[in-house]
Amino acid sequence: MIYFDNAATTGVKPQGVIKAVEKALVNYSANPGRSGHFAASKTAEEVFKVREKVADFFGASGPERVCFTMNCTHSINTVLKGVLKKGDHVIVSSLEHNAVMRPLTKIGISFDVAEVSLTDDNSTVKAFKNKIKPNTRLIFCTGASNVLGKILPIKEIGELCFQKGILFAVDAAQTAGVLPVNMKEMHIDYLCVAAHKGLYAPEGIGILICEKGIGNTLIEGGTGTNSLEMYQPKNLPERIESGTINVPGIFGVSAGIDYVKKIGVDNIYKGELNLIKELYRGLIKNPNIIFYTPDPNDFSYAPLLSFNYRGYESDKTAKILSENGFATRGGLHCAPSAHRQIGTDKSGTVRVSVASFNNIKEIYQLIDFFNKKM
Amino acid sequence: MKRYIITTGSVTYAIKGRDLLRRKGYRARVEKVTATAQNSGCGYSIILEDDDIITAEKILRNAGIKIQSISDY
Repeated sequence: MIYFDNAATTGVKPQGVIKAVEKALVNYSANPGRSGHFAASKTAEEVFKVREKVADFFGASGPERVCFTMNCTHSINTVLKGVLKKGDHVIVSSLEHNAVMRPLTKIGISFDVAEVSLTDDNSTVKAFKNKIKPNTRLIFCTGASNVLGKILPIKEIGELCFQKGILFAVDAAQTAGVLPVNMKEMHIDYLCVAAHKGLYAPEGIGILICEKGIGNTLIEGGTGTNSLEMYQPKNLPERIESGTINVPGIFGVSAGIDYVKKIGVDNIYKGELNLIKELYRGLIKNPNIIFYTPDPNDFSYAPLLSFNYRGYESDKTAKILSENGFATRGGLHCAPSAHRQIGTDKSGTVRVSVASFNNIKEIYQLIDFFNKKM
Repeated sequence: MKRYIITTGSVTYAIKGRDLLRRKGYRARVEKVTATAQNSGCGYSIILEDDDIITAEKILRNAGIKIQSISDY
């Protein structure tokens, strides 16, 4: 099986990550921030180092800003339900995942959608600007669409938020570890990360970095601090991290960041995007392939490609691909608004998404399959 | 040399504060706080071994370390 579903989760984890998780299970199975014995203290020290590493990697102001969650959806829910109050207004992009849209709908906060241009970032920024109201409290947008790969002009939107005094939250599920993300430079107040994707950590670990506070909490419980008080501590990360944290996952995050830093984010991005460009070039002349995005260019598109095979539902194409040794994803990718924008909300799309371990031979095999065997 | 307990609550702040003080040349370590009726329960603290608690406290507060209490060890 050739794995091309890395936008869902990276299918191959680096040896360093596997070893780090094993190391955590063997040598660090103690509860950090709870007990005072040697093993717990040793584990707490290691977890703290990972917080420092994460803060440094994403340009956050300090390790205490780094909270570990279950996944990116958990991080997003924590922000939306923890920051917004009745009467607030939110702006989201037209390419958001249901991780943003469903909680936003549930809490009943008024929101507007800014249409993302696939070719003109200035137009995208203008779309956000035009939606701002006096009560706009938060702009929440994805770093890159999980359907189309389109990278949003995060720095420019962050600058807009900074100028207008609006909180800025970014869903970095598709960009963390693949593209440079610097909270300080991009004026990001809340960064939501799926550590099991571009950071190659195990599934079940996410990150939320908060430069601003969280009012309401999603869950409350034991934090190892202030136990006589029945109110959740205000300080991060305890405010968000109730219950025992995922130590093996956190060790995986650490090793994953080491892996990404060793190759370099820019090299990872260029290498992956070159594969996608080659796939695009290999399929563009096939009359049965329908693309929805322009030829992917550097820093405009994340390393994924959505398309359809003429006359086939996307899930049918993905099933055929699976039967022939290719792991791709069909359907709506949990982001119906992106599909509405390109008119595929009924059919969905086939998505090919690559990671650092994919290679050009695998891409040629997929091209050959479509051009010669399909 | 005097010893002080600087209670930060969370282990994260305690380790951050300890590392900061060590970088400034102080002798400091992290210990779990004993839950008593006088404090708000479990938590962590920095044990400082130095006479100059005033400067140490200033260093911690300037770095955003939340201090719950300071007392003699």
